[in-house]
Amino acid sequence: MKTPWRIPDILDLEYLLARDEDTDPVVLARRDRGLYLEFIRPQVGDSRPGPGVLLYHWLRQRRRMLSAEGGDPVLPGRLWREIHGILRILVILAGLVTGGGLAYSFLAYSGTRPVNVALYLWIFVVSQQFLLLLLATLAVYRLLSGRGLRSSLLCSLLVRLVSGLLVKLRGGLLRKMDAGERLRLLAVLGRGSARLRSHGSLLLWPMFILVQLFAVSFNGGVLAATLVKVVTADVAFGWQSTLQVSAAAVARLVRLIALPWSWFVPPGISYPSLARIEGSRMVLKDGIYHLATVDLASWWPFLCLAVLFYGLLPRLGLFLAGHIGLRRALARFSFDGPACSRLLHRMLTPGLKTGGSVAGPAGETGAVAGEEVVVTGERSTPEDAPGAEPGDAGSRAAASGETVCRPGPGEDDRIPERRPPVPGPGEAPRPVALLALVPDELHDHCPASTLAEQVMARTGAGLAGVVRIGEEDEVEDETLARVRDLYGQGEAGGILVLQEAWQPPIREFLDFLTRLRGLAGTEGRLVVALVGRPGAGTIFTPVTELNSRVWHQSLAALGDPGLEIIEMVAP
Amino acid sequence: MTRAVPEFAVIGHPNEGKSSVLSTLAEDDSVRVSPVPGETTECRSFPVVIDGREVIRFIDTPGFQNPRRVLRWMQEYQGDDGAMLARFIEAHRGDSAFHDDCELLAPLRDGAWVIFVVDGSRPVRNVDRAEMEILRLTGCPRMAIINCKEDETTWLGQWRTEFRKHFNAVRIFNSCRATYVERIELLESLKAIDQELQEVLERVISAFRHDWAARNVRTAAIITALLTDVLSYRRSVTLREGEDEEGVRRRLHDEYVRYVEHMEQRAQRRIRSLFRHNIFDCRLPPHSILHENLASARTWQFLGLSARQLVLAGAVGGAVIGAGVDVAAAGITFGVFCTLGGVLGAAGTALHGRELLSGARLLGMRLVRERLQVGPVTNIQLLYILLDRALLFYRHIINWAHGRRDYDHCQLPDGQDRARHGFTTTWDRAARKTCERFLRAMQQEEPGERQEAGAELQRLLEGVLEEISMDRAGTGG
Ligand SMILES: Nc1nc2c(ncn2[C@@H]2O[C@H](COP(=O)(O)OP(=O)(O)OP(=O)(O)O)[C@@H](O)[C@H]2O)c(=O)[nH]1
Ligand SMILES: [Mg+2]
Repeated sequence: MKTPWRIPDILDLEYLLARDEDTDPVVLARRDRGLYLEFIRPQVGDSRPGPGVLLYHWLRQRRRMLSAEGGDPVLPGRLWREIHGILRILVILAGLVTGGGLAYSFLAYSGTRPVNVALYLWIFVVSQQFLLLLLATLAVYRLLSGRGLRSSLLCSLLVRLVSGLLVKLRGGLLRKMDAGERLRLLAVLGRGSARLRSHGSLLLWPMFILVQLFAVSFNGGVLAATLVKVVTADVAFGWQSTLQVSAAAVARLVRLIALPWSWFVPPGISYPSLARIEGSRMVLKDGIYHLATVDLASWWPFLCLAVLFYGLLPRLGLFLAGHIGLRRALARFSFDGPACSRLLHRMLTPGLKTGGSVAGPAGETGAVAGEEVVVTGERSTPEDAPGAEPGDAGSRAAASGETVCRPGPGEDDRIPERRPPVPGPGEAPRPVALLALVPDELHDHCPASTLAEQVMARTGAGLAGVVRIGEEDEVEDETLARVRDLYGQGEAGGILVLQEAWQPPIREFLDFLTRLRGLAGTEGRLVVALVGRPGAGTIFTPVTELNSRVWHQSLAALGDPGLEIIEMVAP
Repeated sequence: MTRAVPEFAVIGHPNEGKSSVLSTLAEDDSVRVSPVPGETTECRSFPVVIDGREVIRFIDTPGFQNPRRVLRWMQEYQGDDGAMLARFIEAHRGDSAFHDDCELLAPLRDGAWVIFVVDGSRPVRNVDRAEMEILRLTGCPRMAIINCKEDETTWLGQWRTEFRKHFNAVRIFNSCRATYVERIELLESLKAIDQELQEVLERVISAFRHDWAARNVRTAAIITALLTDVLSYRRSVTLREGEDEEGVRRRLHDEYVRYVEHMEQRAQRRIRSLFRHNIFDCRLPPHSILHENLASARTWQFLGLSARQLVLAGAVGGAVIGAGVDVAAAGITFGVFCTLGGVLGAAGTALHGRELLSGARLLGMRLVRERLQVGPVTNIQLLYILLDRALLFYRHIINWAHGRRDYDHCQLPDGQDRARHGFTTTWDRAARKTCERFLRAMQQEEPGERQEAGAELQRLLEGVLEEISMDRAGTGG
């Protein structure tokens, strides 16, 4: 699949989205809706592109805006490009120097002792084969254990390192901090490891490619040094063994090694003949004076071909495979994160404020905005868009702390909700339904219809069912089994857990969430919906700022990149 | 088990106010308290030391992190009941998820009594029931404390019903407002949780009472000393040729006011440390405040004289009083209370006759030949004002619970004596006579009489302080 995304783009997107986190939602909605109407829609037309394409266009527009605003903004993508470029050169140089240097010094021949063929093969071919074998084993193991690159060794190592560090910290430093600071630190670490988890595989490919690049240039260096040595100096190759190995056995082995190329390279060059092998045998007590120069010089084409076929070509292959892998990882990259969803929502939702104000910066957008309403909301007219009921418009927007905007009836399914498979361009996104887990104490005060309404308003997802959890005499395992059954049967694409925010986030609950994630899989939505203290006749009350912060930080510390937190009622 | 020092573990869900309750009970304002849950992660014991002897020990513990899992484990546990906690801790020591639970159960394993703290201003949840059940299974003697973090009483009934099933004793105890009396009452009710505790607690309570009485005696002594210093102040200055007598008078007066201010603050500091407040600093705002309060009409009016008396006093003093005084008298409610709390009412500017009783009239000053004799104080109102201020300060200090941490906006507990202006206005004739005698004694140079009058005043004050500390007014719940 073709995708315009490259790693620097994803870094930039991340960065820009993070920057938007502390910007006024009203301003954001106006800006993004404006960008969409003015620049993006004219380009994509009515092709109903997938989120990746929309976001890519948005990113281009944002970069353009930024460079128009403040000269030359230093975006992480550019840094990455520069650093990566430098690294590439360094790696190539290092490969050439080590490979070439090693081969060059190995081939130093003073005229008294020929270069040992077996040793050359061992150092420059067999050891490399060994590394390749190791790589293959790891790949096979990963394939068999069904854990793609997502849970790559490096990632899990890094995560383990961080958590190990934390355990140490817990003993000393963490205990000295006050609860607020500690929570903040854990949240920062959690967000870091979440990023590593979600982008880990993506960032792993460049490393893989760099390693292959090193190997390619290493082999190139070896090859070049050998050829240079052969051409410019008189190098003698011979073989020896304490064991009574016959020359015929060596010849068989050599023929075997030469199989990959012997079918098209003439026999004299592709490997030395039996007579030449016999002639290049070194016996220390005899010295080398009696050995014929022709025999001693007969080895080098074989050696070069061995390095070429066993070292250079496989590495070149892996190098290419790395690029393909990276391409595919990029194509598979899912823009499902809460921040992306919010951005898409902002772009695709005609808003009360947006509709009127787009004209401001854009100038000629008046017509576009007018047309917009006709195209997207079949049942809405230019007049009723701004006149929409503020009450119902507020409900959805307020949930995510966003602007007063409201999807038109026909517009709603244009919002790309997160779906398990990546939608192709033009494919109409299907919103997933969520399985709602409601605590025992709230269950009876939480009518399914109200809940469904609220959940739809906050998450854009329907309810696949309501499960009562946390009953007094039920243990976690039983609850989880029940949830698993329901989740398996239904068409739920995610789980929503209702939680009172005034309760402190305790370990038990956080672990429960982790287990729910295991159940929903990495693709399923996992939403924690916060409510405040039960108030007059309703459990849907606003959450205090402090409680909200505590929950956000505690959940961030879990390091789950896909975990969403919503507040059921706007503060 | 019998032990010399009774040990109480304060147990509960995270962020319910365990540390705050403990801070108040142990009169220790260094206990770490935070609005973010998970502040306490390690047990810490807080001994209460009276006269160099440890009488009781409270242990601050972290909150339950895995109540349901712990309960499950205990329900499935088969074996010696007495060893259950030890086995639990053994089994979970290495598991960092259970760190807090192990930590908080450790004191129970070692035989501490349990004070279970909940926030009564929120509904009961299943995790709370699980925690109560855990405590029941441990078999530890226990009582429950309802510490309402907010003024919300909707859920109290629910809590009481729940508690009845699990606890031998239940008390409402507000860690931010609990007074001395309430602390004693809490200790009294601790007796109910275990027979063998009765005797020990009896001793503890009597130690507490003695200690309190001793603090009152010391406070009375501090106040008496302050009054002695301030009222017997004397100075004489020789007026030199051509010196402006009025200027010197003013200077002397200012010096005196500064002196009083200094002495008053020193006394307050001493009282504060008597009541073990280290962090909370309830000193009056510096400098101008004494001027503002000691010598301003407001102070005099609210502490010393009624509005009418004030007018009279003003008239006697020859000051011209605007009609504003009477109006303002109704308008200003409890300026001094606010001042003590660090909030200076803005109403002061409304007064026309602000400098009413200031100036030379505060001190007796007379010119004897070329010498200007200053002091002693002749105006008994100064004595009453200083007394009232000291008593107000005392009440503020003893009612500022150690667990209370909202220092920035410290105010007196609301509803306290809006109507009453000061303590001394309600004193009977005998008490007034004591004061008058004291003032007279200060004016004389006779040591015997001074001592006797001082002792009499001190006795009077001891009684008053005792009364104030027993005053239930302004207590929550
Ligand atoms: N208004 C009010 N606030 C209280 C009261 N008791 C506790 N608090 C506040 O509640 C918060 C938590 O109090 P802590 O004493 O730290 O609670 P804790 O149970 O020790 O919490 P952890 O150590 O985290 O388990 C603090 O911000 C206290 O100031 C109270 O009676 N009234
Ligand atoms: Mg605590």
